Amino acid sequence: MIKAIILLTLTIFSLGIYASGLPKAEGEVILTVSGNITHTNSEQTAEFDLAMLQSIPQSTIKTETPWTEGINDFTGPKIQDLLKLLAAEGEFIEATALNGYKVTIPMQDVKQHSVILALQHNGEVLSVRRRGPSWVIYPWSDMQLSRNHKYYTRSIWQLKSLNIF
Amino acid sequence: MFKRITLIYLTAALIIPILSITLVTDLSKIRSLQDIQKADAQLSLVWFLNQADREARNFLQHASYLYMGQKEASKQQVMIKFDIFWSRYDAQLMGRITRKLSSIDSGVQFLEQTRHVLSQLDPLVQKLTPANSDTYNSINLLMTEHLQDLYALSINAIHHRSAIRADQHSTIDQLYFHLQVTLLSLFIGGLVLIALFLKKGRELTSQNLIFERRVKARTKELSQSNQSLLFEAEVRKKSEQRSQQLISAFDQSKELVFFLDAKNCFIFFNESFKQINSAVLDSIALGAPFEIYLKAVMEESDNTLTSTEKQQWIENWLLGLRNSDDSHEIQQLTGQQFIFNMNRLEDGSVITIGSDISTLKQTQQALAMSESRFRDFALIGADWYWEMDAELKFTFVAGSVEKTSGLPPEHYIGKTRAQAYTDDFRPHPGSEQSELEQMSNREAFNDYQIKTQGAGGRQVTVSLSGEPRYDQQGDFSGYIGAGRDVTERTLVEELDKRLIAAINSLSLFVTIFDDQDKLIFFNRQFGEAINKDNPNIVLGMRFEDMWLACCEYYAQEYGFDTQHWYDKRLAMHRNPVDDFVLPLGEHRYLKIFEQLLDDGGVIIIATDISESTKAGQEIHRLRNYLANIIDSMSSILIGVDQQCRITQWNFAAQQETSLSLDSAYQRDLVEVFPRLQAQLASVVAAINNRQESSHLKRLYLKAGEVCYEDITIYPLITSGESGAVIRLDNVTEQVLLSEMMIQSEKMLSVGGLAAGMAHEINNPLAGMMQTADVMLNRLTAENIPANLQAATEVGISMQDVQQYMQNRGILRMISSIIESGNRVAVIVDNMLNFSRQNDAQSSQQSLAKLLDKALELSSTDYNLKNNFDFKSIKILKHYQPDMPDIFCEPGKIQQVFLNILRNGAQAMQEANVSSPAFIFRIRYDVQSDEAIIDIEDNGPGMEEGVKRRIFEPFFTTKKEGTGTGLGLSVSYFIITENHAGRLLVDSVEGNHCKFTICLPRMGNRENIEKRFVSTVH
Repeated sequence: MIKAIILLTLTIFSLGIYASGLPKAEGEVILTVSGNITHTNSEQTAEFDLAMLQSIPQSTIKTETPWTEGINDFTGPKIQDLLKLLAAEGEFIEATALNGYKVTIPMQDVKQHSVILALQHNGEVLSVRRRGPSWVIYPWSDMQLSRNHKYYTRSIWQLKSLNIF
Repeated sequence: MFKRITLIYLTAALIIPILSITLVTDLSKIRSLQDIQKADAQLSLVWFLNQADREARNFLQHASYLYMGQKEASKQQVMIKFDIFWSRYDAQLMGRITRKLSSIDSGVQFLEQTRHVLSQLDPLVQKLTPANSDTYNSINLLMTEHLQDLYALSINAIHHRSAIRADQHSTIDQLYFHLQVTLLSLFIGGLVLIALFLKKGRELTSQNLIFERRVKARTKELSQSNQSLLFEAEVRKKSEQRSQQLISAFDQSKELVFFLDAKNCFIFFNESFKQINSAVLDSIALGAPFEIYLKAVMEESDNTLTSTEKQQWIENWLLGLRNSDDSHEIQQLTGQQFIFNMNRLEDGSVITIGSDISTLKQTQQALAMSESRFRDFALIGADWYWEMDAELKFTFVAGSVEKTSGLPPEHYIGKTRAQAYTDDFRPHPGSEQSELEQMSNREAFNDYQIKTQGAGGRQVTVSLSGEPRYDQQGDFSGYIGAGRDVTERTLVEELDKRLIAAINSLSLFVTIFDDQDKLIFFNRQFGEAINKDNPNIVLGMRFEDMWLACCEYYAQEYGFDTQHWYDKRLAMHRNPVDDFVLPLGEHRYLKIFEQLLDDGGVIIIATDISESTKAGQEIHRLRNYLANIIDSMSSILIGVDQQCRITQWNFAAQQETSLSLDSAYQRDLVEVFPRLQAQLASVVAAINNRQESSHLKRLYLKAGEVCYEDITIYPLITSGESGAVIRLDNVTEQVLLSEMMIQSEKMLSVGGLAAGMAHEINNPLAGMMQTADVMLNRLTAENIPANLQAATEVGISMQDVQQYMQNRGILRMISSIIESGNRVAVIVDNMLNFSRQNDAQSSQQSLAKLLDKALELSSTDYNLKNNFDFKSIKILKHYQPDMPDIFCEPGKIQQVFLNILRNGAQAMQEANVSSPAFIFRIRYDVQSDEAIIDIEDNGPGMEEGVKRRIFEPFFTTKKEGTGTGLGLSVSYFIITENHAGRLLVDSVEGNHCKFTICLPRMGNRENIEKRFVSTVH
């Protein structure tokens, strides 16, 4: 119970910090968010290092994927929380990977399915070799209907940037 | 046949499962191939290898950039590209791709090799620096090999996919072929089966037909045999029945019947024979000789007969038997007289039938005795009695035949009827013929009527009755009969017939009941109507029964309410009432009339009055409809007859006079409507000359108010009676409205003219005024150098000039010009007020304050003060306390108040009113959202003509020079045009004058909007 209260307080505190103004990324920038966002920390973009992304409330999804064996744990912030933090408004998210792969994710997906930006896989921080630094993960095991090609293509890995529009 | 069908069934049973299994196999194969394709679509191996190739090349490219020292290539980038390359083959992240890879040739081998290459590359990449050729070359070598392997694998993957597709296509083709074969087999099989069934059906039909024919033939034979047997049995049965019937008939017969055989022995005798010979029963056994019977009879007979007579009796019988066709009258033992008829048949047997003629004999004797009595008796019921012989000649005539025919009884004796007629007494043609015919047929006749012409030319009807007479041997011996004079009775009967024919020809229902209330007559009309379908009504039935039958008929025909009217009609029966109308159904009415007769009977006459009732109802409805229309009119409508008396009087007339139609009806027109006195002549003209006339906008006073009406008088002719209709329309409002419109139009046109003129006058007036001012200045100002110089030049001083001008009154004239000019300027200024253009500013104002201020100004008005002491006027104020402010132009409203006050004060002053007073009322009408200001004086008021023109420009009643005639018209324009209000005047001459100003609370919307627009722009 006390742990929960502390976590909540921290969350509120951290959100409060971001609400008042987004701090600069101190470490290596692993994600750049641009487009229709209100809070920025660079020129019209919001840049995040790993610590910043980890400071956002983390969610874990236990799911099967076509690229892994068995049930896997994926942990990271919900994309919806990340966008709230930036007061982002839009209908679509254009996600770009390190290798130039691009995909458009409808905002509806993010709102409906609690899609996360996975930073850890089975407790290990995702490196580029392990399809990091971040990986868009849908809770497939919880949503039977979304096990189709459409959603698999949206599950972009080695994510570099998001553009909200 | 059945074997063939079984074979076909067996073949079909074999083929169908084989085909089904083939189809299912094809389908499952297609399914599995589709699954593979689906999985491939979700996680394409080709796509994977393509991406892997792209990423490997990307890494190699960046490694080469770094090696070549290009600026944009950093070690970190190379590391990232390597990591991306690495991530493709990470064992944990391969998932299903691993399985896919292992499904193609050299897939697993490639994967192991690549991981080996990656582990070799890892330290090399860490070591790679610009220009480090060794390291780069190693990397390049490893990568080249890897890419070659990757390329080979990609080719394999594509081949694998193509193979799957080719497999799928061939499977689909097979499936298609199998389907075609299956369908064709089914189709052919079906056709064969149908053909077989048809063939079999036809065979069965033909066999069936043969069977049917055989069965029919056999049935027919059986039926014929059966029928002949039945017929035979029937004949035998009938024959037995007939014999039994004959025996039973003979037994029941009163005649004596017995049969003898050829040897004259008994073979049959009936019950009557047995009964009558009960004394000699022993001798009449079957087979016993007839002679023995005869002897036994004679032995049993009484002793009145001698033995010879007995012997004679027996011989007579035996003789009769021998002759066999004689008839014998023989007295039997019982004393009864019989006549026997004997008939010997061909086989020698004898049938004998004996009839009892005892009664006949007695009757013959009695007849002879009664004949003489009959004559006397016949004469009692007839006028005369007659007898004829066999030749139909009169043998005897008695009674008053002479009184009827004028011929004495002896005249007839020895003559036939035809011979007995004379010229004075002969029958009408046809009468005699029938009588003779009946007589020649020896028939009796009764009440046979012959019309004859009697003595003195009198038409006589004679009724004859007669019957033939026979002697003891039964031979015709003539006629006896009686005659009666029935002339009067015939006449009455004919009259009755005519009456009945007349009643039958009427379209009325006529029924007559006797004193027992039984139906004794109904006419044809009644019979045809009520007895149309069922003859329910019959003579002799009681009234109640007849009425019930009628009710049932009416209920069926017209939907008559039987329950209600049955009792009602019964109550009326024999209690006649007038106008008893029976509603049979919709629009059907029967009027029933009952009349009690002297003999206790009753005659009932029913008349169908449906048509007349319908017409009556229609007239009533039409009358109501017209009355409603007339009553709904706002016009007063009065109908009068030739004597000008009221016949029609609508609702508007009732309201106008407070007299109802009943009160006004047939009263004199002028008496009930006095104001039509003047139109009486026109009404009379309309009645007499049929001349229509109108009197438009006629003035009349109603409760002290002036009203106008249009009177129209129409001649009226109905059913030869003359009269007139007078229509009065109240047109007061129209007249007032039209006057108001005329006034308004006039004001607008004059106002516009005045404003136009004012502009035109203003310019020359300004020039004139200025010139006059300059003239005065040049003539009087001594300090102007130009004046002094001009005077010096002509050699005179300014004082001289002034003196001259003063003496000649020129300066006064110039002053007069300036004063007149100023007056003109004031007039022009007022005239400009007619212009609708308005630059003044409106604002929220308290009307009470404005009126008070105007009052204050009036009391200091110079002219007014001179002529009239305003302070002596009593002022009464009635201001509504919560009066809202009104949006108006204060200066103009004040001007209006001043004008009205000035006019009022002057009028009161001129009329020398003893205690002059003004009454001011200010109130606010919420409903119309306007302020209403009354300014009333107790001055002389004004006459109608003045009142009508009071707002016209230049109209004045004041003395010349005291008024411009513009004050009130300017006021009118200020209120109506500038403020969208109303200015009204009400005056009673010699009593008071009241001006009423109505101002909308929000002022003139049009002006406000215009102003708003101008401020916005």
